[in-house]
Amino acid sequence: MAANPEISVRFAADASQATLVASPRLDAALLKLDALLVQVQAAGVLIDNEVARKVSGFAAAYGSGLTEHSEVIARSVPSVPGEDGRVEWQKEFDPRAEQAAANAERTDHYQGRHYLQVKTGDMVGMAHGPTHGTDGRDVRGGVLKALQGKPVPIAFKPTLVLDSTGRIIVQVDGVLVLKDNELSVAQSLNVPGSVDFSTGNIDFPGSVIIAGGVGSGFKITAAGDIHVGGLIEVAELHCGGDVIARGGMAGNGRGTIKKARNVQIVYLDKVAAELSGDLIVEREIADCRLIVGGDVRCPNGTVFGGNVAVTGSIVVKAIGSEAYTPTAITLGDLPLLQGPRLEASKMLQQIKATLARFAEQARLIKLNPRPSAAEKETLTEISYEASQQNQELARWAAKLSEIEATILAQRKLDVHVAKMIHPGVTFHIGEFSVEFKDAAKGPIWICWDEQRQLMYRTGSEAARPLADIARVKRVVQPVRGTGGSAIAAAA
Amino acid sequence: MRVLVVDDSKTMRNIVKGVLATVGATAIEEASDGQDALSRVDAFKPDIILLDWNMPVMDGITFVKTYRVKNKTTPIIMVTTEAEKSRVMEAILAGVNNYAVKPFTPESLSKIIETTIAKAAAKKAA
Repeated sequence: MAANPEISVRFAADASQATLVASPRLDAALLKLDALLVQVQAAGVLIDNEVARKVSGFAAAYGSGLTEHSEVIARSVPSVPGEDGRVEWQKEFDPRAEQAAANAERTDHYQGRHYLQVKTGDMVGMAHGPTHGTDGRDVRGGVLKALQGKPVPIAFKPTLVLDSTGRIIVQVDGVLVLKDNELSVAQSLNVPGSVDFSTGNIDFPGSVIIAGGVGSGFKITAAGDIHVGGLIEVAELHCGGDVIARGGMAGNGRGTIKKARNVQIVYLDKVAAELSGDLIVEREIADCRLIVGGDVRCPNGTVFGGNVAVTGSIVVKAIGSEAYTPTAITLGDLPLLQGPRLEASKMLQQIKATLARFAEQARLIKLNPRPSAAEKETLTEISYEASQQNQELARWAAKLSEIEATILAQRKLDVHVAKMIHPGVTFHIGEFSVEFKDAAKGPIWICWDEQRQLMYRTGSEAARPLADIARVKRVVQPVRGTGGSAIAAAA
Repeated sequence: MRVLVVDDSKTMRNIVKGVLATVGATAIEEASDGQDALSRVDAFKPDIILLDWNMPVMDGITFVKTYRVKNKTTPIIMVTTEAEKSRVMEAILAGVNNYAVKPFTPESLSKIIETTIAKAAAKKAA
């Protein structure tokens, strides 16, 4: 059937709709549905139920046809774009979340935490990949291709894995970091500024690197090292590794460093510190309470005021001050071992007391020449308990012996003072107390001689008894087999 | 080594178990009297039995007499306060292999256990 020129189909430029147009005063036979459908199809419109319904409606609406009649009979089905890939974060691990909001209601702002600590095996979120979307079609039946969603906009570093179900699993302990669309777990915590109310206290299972300082009242606990770029104020540092500070620490009598290995710092002022390794100080150690398991190196600085206990050697420019500041230096002791040593001694005493009690109980039962069955059983119990206690006794005795051996092996007396030991300085060296009433000019070296006499040497001169320049007193009798650790024992 | 410890006193059973730990016991079963022990021997199949004499329900000597009817080989050590010669003889005649008199020390009991096991092994080998 030839197309009727009085009836036409007009298409939108993008084929998003088709309009059927009929001239006025057409013969009704031309407006029959079948004829119209043939014409519409011939024009290129994809016929479906909806189009057929519209064409049917067109014929009815034409009416008397006094004017040109047009009607949209087909519209395209638009494509539905795919969804972009995304990460659905676990609530507690969302690195984008405004932690400040969570912390806003805290009353203790020191406890505010502004980093996300994660542990191996934690699932921090679920990655959902992009979807393809749904294709559409134009009125001619052409495919309108759907836009595919964009991939997850985050790259996962090897410290996390994406399992087959899309779960994001942490592979190492540390801090979750989302930076420049890269998600990783940092094993050292970098604080770009100072530790203050913007960071809160820090408790981290690795090393902590602080670009700035540490404010008053804050506490840093790190399993690894602590690096500090600025001043440490009245803070608490608990450290499984080394403390390395580019500034000093002004502790004001309350600042502490605990459990550290080595400490390297510019100065220490009114600080209490306990370290198992060496202390390296650039300038002075002022009015501090220090326990140092290794050596003290302060070759350009002065130690004055406070109490410093050192297991190893001391290299220092001066000790004490011209103002006769009382300064106590305990030398050649192992303060960090005194706790375990006292514990072992205490246990030995307790076990011996228990054994004595058992012996007395057994003696009383044995006074009866014909003990009852119950008494015999009691004797068996006592015998067994005593046997157990004897094993404990042997264990603790071995432990104490090991501690004593370590103390003997590690203790040394090796003090190098380059410039001056001022009056007011007291050395506690084993069972001796050495008081300096007058200034002793350096370079001076204090040590034991082969007969275990306290000696000193200046420059290349021969060693002389330390008693020549200081008042040497034996404060307690030496403990047999433990040498000079009697002060601690007496304490 | 699988050991059945029979004593009505839990404290004493614990003491014996403590000693057994030093002589290589791999499995220890506890019973609180002779009757309880009889109900356990078939399932547990001990290599050695340590047994008190004076217990409620069924005493040690009755257990030995009953047990020896069906089992002649598993060594039994009587661990008891009964030290009179007549009692010792009664136990030996009933089928006890060795005798530990309370009060004992852990060392003395472990020695008795080791001796008994060695003798039983030698007898089995012969």
